[in-house]
Amino acid sequence: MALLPTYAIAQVDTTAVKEQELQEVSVNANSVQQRIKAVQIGAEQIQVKELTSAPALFGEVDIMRSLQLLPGVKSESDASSSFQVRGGTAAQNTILYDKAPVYNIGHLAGLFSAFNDNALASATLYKGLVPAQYGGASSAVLDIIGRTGRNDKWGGNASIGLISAKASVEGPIVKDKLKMLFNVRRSYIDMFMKMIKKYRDNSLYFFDTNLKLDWQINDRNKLYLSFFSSHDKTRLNDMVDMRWSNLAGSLTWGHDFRGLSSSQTTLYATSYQTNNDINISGLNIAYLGHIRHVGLRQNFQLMLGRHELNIGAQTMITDVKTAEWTRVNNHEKEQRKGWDNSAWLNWQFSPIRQLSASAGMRLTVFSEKCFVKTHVTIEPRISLAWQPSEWMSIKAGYSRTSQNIHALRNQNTTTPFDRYTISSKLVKPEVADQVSLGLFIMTPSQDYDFSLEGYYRHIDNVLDYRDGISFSSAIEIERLILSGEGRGYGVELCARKNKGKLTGWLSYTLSWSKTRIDGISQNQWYNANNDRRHDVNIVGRYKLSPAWTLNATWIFYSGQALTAPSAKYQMIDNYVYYYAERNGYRAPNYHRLDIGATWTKKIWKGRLTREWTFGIYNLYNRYNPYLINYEDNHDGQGTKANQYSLFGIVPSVALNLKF
Amino acid sequence: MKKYLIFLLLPLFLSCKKEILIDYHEVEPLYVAEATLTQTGTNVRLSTTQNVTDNNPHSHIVENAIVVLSCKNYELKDTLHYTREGYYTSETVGSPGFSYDLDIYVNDRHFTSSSTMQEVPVVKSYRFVWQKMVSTRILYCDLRIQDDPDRDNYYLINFYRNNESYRWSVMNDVYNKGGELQKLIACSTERKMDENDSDALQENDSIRIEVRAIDQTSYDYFYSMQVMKSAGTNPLPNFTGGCLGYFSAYNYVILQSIFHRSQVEEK
Repeated sequence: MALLPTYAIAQVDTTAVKEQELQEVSVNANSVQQRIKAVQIGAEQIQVKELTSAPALFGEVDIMRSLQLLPGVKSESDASSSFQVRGGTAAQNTILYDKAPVYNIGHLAGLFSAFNDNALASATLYKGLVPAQYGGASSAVLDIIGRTGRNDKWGGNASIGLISAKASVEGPIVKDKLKMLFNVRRSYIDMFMKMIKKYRDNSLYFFDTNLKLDWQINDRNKLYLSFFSSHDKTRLNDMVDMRWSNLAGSLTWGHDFRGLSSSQTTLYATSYQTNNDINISGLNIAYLGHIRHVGLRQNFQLMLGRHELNIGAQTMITDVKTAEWTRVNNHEKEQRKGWDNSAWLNWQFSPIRQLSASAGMRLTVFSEKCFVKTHVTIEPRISLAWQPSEWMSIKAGYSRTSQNIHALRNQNTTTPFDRYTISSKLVKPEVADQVSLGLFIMTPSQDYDFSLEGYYRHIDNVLDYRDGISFSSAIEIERLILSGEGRGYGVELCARKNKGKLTGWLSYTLSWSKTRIDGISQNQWYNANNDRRHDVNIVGRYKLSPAWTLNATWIFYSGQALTAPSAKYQMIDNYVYYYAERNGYRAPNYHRLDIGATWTKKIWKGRLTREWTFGIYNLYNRYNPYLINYEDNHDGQGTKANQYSLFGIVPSVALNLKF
Repeated sequence: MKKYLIFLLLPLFLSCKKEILIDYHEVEPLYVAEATLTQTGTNVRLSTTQNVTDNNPHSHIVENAIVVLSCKNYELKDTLHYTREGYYTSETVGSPGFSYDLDIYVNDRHFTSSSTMQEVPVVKSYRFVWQKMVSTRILYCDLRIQDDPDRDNYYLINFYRNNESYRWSVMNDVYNKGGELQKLIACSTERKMDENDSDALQENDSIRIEVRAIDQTSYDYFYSMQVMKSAGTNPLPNFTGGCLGYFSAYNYVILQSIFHRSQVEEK
């Protein structure tokens, strides 16, 4: 048997990985069956092909924006490709790219994700209920698997859209032994800017690249080398120069034992770096930060009859520069190191045909440098699936997860100005407990399937800024923060149509998310920043003809929690607002319709596929809320609330050539 | 500094601004005090908060308070006189280095605050400069202060245009102690000035810049007031007992001029 990259398998679904090998990634009937059968509740698997179900902003197909259409998953804002799950924040998610953790994966301040769809095979999102093999996140884990190259012949593609161009090349370096895939994507807005005199000194630029090598040593051993890098640069004349980057590399050795058991050993290193310079009329200020990891992960997947065991351990060195500031003549730096060790055991079995179970335990031991303080967290996980008939299952689960890398932000969205720190003597690990119950049904023909899931989540030691503090108020992060608890609960509904010319899904999420921190809002529970009650996503894809595919997405969010004044008063000849409750108001509802069409034709006797993609983002040009502020006249005659919107209607076109 | 970035970057992406209606909640009025002790006298303005939709600022003054200024350094105890429109005044002036206490008694409530008088700030220069930004230019007021190296210094800058408050900001000397401190106050874009936007400086506008040397407690209050817009929080309490506002003993200098666009310097 050829070795599969089983390091990606976990419990949810092996189909994606097999498909990765076959180079034929598509949504098929198995996906439906697995939604019914898979033991793990709260797991969503996305195939890259499925991304084309959603129209793309500026013609950029984006895995992260597609994730935001799933039930229980929310976008941070119009400008963000980061996602929030079941009341958690984007900073409480862990994103793994071929098992290496990456941070702030947005290009252009978050407008697009740094993940090139050409480079991806599949992604699995664990919405808080995760198998014991995964950890490090108090909200969700997104496990992204990079695609390996073709084995049969050399090929590739090239595409050009409104703001970027990308190209890939893939094929066998040594037939049946070594194959590779190399992707590169670059924005070219800066090139156009250089041609226009008044924009010549500005730059909006991003670049990313992916490399994956796959070496079949012999029938039992395989090596994967994966490399990912992304760079962003935004420069406004010589005033502002913002740069951030992600580098991630992993080397995985897969070994196949006799039978179906296997071992995966992964050595990885990652670096997320920010470097922001501001220079206004001789006033120079620089902000720097980074998160770096070097880790070794070992997992054994043992298939013992009806039992599947995952046993493993991980050790990881973490280096976080929470801030390094040069402000005029003052230089300050705060850098912390930690050692994160974890071990896990996960046992999946079926005592009877109708019942399958997955039970596990993860032990996390996190030490600040030189063992100043060691935090030990024991994390039990369990999932049960009862399938009384082939067409229906009921699932339940409980999971405890912890997080030792903490992000701090004043705003809702991820930015390069977010500060990060690690668990320390004063900062405890975030620990989340979640229970979930779900009903999954499909029609006998598998044309349709339906799911209903409910969840309750509680998290300890969430951090927030003290009142009257900003990210740059003090270099010592403990002086800026307060800690407390959070809770979230809700119901998620999803109906999918899987076959026929028209496919797609409708999802609805009803949710609550609250926070309580001593020292904020009179120590009472208050709505979390990301609290909103209703989310509706309708995604449709219509295969009009062999050449034409149409798609459309309609999104509705009820008003996001908002802090607005409840009174005002005069101070230093200005009106000042009094905020009686944090997040006690609601922003206006958000909705938009995106449409797209793809025209595909094989040319040059089938050697080349030409694909035109047309899209219109926000078809009815609705101005949705992005930012709301308040202002008064000098004499206090009337407070005005102003809403700023990010995008109106945005048409796009992209050309893709595959060979 | 992040607010500068937002100010700079948002116009690149934002497509529309419109006014929206919000059903503001109402809360019980809270007492508000703005109390200053300077080299020229003592002033306390006492009022209450008003509802967001209430547009009458004159109906919230407090006239029945007893306001007492005291200083342990020379056994000062001065009860301020009510003058008009919620103002309580005294001719008592502050002396640098002395700490003063303010007590306010009103309707069975008692609020207190303290502040230490600072030396007169030394302003070296101020000018207006252009800074290029994408397809326009931004007008900044560039203010330079000579810092005293022998102590920690904190400053509040109030910028008035035609006798109305236009911009304000705080700074401290931690980044260039004893050296020349620079404060840039963003005024408006050149485009807004060309369009005669009401928020943009215009030719012959009268400019008055008040530079206050304040103590750390006052700085903490104003700094928290400066970040509250982005954080959605209230300023840190400066009074005990639940009164909003602040008491600050400070020395100040006033700079005055008439704005002429032709005198704006290129960066």
